[in-house]
Amino acid sequence: MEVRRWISSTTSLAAAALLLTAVPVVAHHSSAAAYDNTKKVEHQGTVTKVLLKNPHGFVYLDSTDEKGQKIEVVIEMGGATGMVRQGWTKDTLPIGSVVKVSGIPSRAPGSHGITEAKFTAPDGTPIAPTPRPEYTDR
Amino acid sequence: MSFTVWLEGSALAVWTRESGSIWAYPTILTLHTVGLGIVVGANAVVDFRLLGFVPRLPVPSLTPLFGFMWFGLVVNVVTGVVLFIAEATTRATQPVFYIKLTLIGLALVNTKLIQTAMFRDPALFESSIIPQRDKRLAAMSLLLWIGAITAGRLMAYV
Repeated sequence: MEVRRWISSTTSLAAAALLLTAVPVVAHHSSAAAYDNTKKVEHQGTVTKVLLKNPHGFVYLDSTDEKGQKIEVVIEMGGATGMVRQGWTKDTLPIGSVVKVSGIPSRAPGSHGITEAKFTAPDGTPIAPTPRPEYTDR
Repeated sequence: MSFTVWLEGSALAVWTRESGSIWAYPTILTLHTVGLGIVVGANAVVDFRLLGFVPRLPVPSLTPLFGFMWFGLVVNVVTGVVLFIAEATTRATQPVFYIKLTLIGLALVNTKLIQTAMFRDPALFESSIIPQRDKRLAAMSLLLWIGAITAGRLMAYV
């Protein structure tokens, strides 16, 4: 009797755990340690490098800050596994193309890192796959 | 071309790092965590028993757990090597990675000392009084494994 109850509760726990794995790779750990999710920033710049890799991909932009100084914007993405499954390829953001990106800023002073990024063309047209909406506003 | 650059360019490294397959990075990383659970879990059972917990459990009955530890270690060496080569150039420059390896090395020596003591003189452990030396080893084992896990986890953040 006890054993049967234990087995049924364990099975439901395991099922719940499996359901949780349906949460995509972008959510595998909180970004709040390194990024300030109470703020939002936007940059426009030229794509210089796209790294489609695990455990995290990165996109690099050459941009300018509000004083006109040249800056490098480093955008931390999810892992390659999730990016590829969302439809990212090496050609999604061609090197040299001009894009707009919005996301939450890095807490590191002096850096221009952002994450949970959305990419658009300078006119606002979406140009890159984004995580499904239900997972983006965390 | 440096060795780590060459490693990172190997087919296995590229597949692990860049493929969209769940059998690549996600599976290898999951197995690495399962192996960790087996190694440190089995170690923790022995350590807590030697420290005096669960006194009803005869210490000599725990010796098969060392087989589980070495099995888990093999899983983690294999998956760990693959995870390392996938990002060899960055991992090789992370001080916390070398701290992790050092702690694992010390923990393994410590585990081996406990194993040797338990096999050499099982009669010593039949009594409920655990020798002070082995209690110290057990406490050290817990600290070293916790340290190794912490250093490993920090590799994602520092």
